Amino acid sequence: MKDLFIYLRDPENIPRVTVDSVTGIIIADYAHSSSDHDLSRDAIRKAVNVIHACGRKAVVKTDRLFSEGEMAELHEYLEYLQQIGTDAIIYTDLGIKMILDEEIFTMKGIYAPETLLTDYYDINVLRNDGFDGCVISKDIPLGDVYEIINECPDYCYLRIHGPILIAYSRRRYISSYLEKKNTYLDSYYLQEESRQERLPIIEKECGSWLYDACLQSLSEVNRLLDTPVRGFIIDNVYMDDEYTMKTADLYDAVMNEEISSDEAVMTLKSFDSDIRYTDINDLRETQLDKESQ
Amino acid sequence: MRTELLAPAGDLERLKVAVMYGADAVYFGGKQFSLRARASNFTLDDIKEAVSFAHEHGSKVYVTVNIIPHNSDFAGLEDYLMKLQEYGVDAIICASQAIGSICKKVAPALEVHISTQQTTINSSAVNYWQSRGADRIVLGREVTYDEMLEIMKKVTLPVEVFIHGGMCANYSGRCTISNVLTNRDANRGGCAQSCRWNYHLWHEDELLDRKECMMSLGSKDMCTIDYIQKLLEAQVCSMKIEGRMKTAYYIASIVKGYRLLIDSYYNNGMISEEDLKKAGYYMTLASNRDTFNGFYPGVPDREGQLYNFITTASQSFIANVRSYDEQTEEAVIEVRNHFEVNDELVIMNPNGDDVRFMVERMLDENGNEVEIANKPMQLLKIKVPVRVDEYTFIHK
Repeated sequence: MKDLFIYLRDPENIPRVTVDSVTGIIIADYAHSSSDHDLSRDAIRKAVNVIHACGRKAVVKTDRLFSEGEMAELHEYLEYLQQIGTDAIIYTDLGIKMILDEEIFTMKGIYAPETLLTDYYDINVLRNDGFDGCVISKDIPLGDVYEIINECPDYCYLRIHGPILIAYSRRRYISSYLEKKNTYLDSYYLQEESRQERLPIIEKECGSWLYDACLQSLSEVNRLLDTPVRGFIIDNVYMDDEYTMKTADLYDAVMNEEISSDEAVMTLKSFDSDIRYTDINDLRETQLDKESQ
Repeated sequence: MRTELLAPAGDLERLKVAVMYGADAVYFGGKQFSLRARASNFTLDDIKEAVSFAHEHGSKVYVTVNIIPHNSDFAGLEDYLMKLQEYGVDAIICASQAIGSICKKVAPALEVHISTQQTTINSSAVNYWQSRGADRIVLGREVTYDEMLEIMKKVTLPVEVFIHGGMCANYSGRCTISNVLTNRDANRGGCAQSCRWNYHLWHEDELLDRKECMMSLGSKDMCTIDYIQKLLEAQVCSMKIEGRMKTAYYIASIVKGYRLLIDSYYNNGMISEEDLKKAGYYMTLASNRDTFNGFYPGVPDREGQLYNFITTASQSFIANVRSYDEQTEEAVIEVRNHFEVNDELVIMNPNGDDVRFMVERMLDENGNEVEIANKPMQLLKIKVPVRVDEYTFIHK
C-alpha cells in the first residue's frame, strides 16, 4: 500500500480524517517549519498520540533551513520528536541528516529540498547513502517525474496537491518594503505589475515564502498509483483543514474509482473559487527542456 | 595558509584580465552543465588554453558544473569531467551530489567544491558535505559574519565565501520564480532575474503599494571591503567575486581593489585606511549599482533591498591596451568611450599604482592624426609614460 500523508494544522481535526487511503498525518510547529500555525511541544506530543490511536503514522514537518545559532535548539527539538514517538520528519536542511545519523535517532527522515531533487542520479545517490526517503521536486515536467519514480522504485514521495513554493528567502520582504517589522501570515499577495495572477506570500521571523498556484493531480493520481512511487503528500500552507480533508476525500474517491477525475476537479474548484490551480499535467517544460529533446 | 582571491570569467579575455589583475584562482563555466547560460562560457579548447595561461601565472582554475540537473542532463558528463581532469583543471564547483560522486569516480584528480546553490548555512550541513567527500564548501550568502565564525570553529572543511557582486534575493537554488513567470529554468542557467521586477503588494483586497516605489524582491549587490580584514583573520580559504557576465573592465577594477586589500593585510598585518579608500575607488569604477555588506552585519532589512531597479552603463572606461612598443613607448589601444587630445587619463596598472598622463597625440591605423576618439573598437596609437601590457585598462 502506498503512503498518503496529509497536513493538518489543528490536532483537533485528526480524528475527523476517516478515509482509509490516508496513512499518515503531517503536523508542524511555527518555529521549525514553513507553517504559519503554531503548535506547542505538548500539543505535538498529544497530536502524535492521537495520530497513532487512529492507526496512522505521525509525520512532523521541519522544512526550513536553519542558521548556526539555531542548531543546538534544533537538535534538542529533534530529540523531543524522537522521544514522543514521531514516525518521520520531512526536512529540507542537510544539517538535519547529520543529526539523524547519530546513533540515538531511529526516527525516519524524508528529505524534501523542494527544488533540488530533479533527477534520478541524485536520488539514487541519496538512497545508497542511507536517506530514508525523499520528496521529488514538484516543478519538473511529469515525464521526468515518471522516469525518476521508475528508476528509484519504492523510494520517492510526490507532492500531489498543495501550493507550489517558488521562492524561499531568509529576508523579510514585506517588513523591509513597508518598513514595519512584523509577521505577515494571512492573505498577503504579490502581483507582478504586468500580470493578473496573485502569488501568496508568507513572512515569518525567519524569512519569507512565495507561492504560485495550488498544484492538483486528480487526473493523474490513478496512473501514479500504478508506478513504484512510495507515497503521496497533500500539503497545505494557507488553506484551512476543512479544505484539506475534503481534498483528501476527493483523492480517495478518485483512487477508489467512485468518481471520475473530471468530476473531482469540478468539485475541488467548488470548494473555493478564489484558489488558482495548476494541473500536474500542465507543469510546463522550460525552454531548456524543449531544446534538449 | 593564505586566503585565495577567486574571480569570475565569462570568456578567455576576461580570464586573462582576472589573472593579470591579481586573482589567485578563476572560475568559469563550460558550454554544458553550467549556470549563467548567457555568459559566453568556454569550449573545451578554451578551457585547455585557460588552464595553461592561469597555471603559467600561478593561478588555479575551477570549472562550474553547477546546474541542478534533470535526467537528460547527465549525457556526456563523464567524458566532460575526464577532459577537465586531462586539461589540468583544479576543481569543479557543483551543486548536485550525483555530479560530485561521478567526478570523484571518473576524475579523482579534480577537487569537488560544493556550490552556494546548496545553501549550506550551518556547521552540521558543512560536515555533511565533508563526510560525503567534498573538498571545499561555498557557504550560502545568507550567513552572517558571526555565524560564519561559529561555523568555522566547528568544521575542518575549507570554507569559501562570497565577497562581491550580484546576489540572489532568495536562497540560491531554491527559487523558481523565473521558471514560473518566464518559462526559463533558473537552476539550469536561464534565470531571468524576475526577483528584480516590480510587484504590487496586496493584503486581501487592499493594495499596499508605497508611493515612492513598488515592491521588489531584488537584492542590492554585495561589496564587502569593510569585512575583508575580518574574513582574512578568520582564515576563510577563498573569497569569491560573483559576475561571470560582467565586463573585463569590471573584473579588472574589482579584482584590483580586493587584491590591494589582501596584499595590504599580508604585507602589514592590517589593512590601512588609505588602502581601504583606494579599494573603495576601484569598486566604483565599473559598477553603478547600489551595494551593501550582504548578510555579514546581520540579516538585512530595507538597506539590502533594491527598489526601482535601474542599471546605467559606466562611461569611465576609455580603452584597453592591445599592444605596446618599448622602443617608441607607444601603445595601441582599443577605444571604448569618448576622449580627446589633452584629456587626462589613468592607466589602471595591474601590478602597481595607477599612472596619470595627458593624451598628447593620437594616430589611427593609417597614421592619420585624430583629435577626438569616439568610434568604439577603433584602434589608436598613443604615447604612454610607462610600459603597459596587453589587457591593461585606461580610464578617465
